[in-house]
Amino acid sequence: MHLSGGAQPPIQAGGVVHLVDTLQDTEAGFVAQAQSGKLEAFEELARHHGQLIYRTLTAILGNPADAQDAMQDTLLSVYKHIDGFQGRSKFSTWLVSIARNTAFQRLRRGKHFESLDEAVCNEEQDFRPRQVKAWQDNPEELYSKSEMRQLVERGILALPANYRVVVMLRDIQQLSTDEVARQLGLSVPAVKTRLLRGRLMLREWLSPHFMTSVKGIAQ
Amino acid sequence: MISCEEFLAEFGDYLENQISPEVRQELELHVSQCRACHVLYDSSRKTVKLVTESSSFELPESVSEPIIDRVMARLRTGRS
Repeated sequence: MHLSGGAQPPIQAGGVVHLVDTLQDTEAGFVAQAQSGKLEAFEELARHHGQLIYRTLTAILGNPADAQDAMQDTLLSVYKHIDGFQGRSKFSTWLVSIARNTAFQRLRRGKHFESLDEAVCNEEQDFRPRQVKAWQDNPEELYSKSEMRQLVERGILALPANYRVVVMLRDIQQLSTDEVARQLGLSVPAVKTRLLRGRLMLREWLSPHFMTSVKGIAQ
Repeated sequence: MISCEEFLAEFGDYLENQISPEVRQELELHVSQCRACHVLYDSSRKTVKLVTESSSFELPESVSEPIIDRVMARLRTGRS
């Protein structure tokens, strides 16, 4: 059985909760096997959670190429410390904490470290939207899917790290606000504040491409 | 009608669709009568939609597979 792709757990009537429970039980089984040294189980976990690890690394490092470099170190660190996972949190939460630590170690080495701590981030700093021109009705029709993805990626990478991480985990990885708070060790109000600021900053960045006077072609 | 400051105080929860029907009614009334807040709401909503539907930062299998293969090779030879 696989965690992704080939998984076909029995879905019964009213079974969304049942499906989630089944997948969590399956994952717990893979984790237990990986903890006992079964490499095939670890490989399945690595494949299933690769996207989450990569997005967490990209969000903190601010650079997809660095994130790809850091993936190998993260996965080796996950394997090295997997015995320490005791199931008190979700496995994905624990994985994000390992990815964060790996990313922070790299940033410290590069001496351009940006802390994500609540105390360091000035949540009270006011962010005033400056752009007040209306957007076109169907902005998604102005660019191809590939151009749109590049535009969004450039905008997100331009955000300060503490906003970028929250926007990526909430809007790209589509975790709940509570889950983002747990994964980053932040309070829910702090996540909500950063999410709104990040979205507003991104809106400012994207606005020139989507205002009513714009006709298309990503720059 | 509520002020722009009051609108902005609820704006994050409004975008997240996490407000009571009573507050929603107040916010919708404000948006219908304040052009600046209408533009802010409309463009922010579109921003979130574009971002969530963009499939951004997807790691292609052509990149992830060699990384995982290298990790597994190191683990199999006990060089972790």
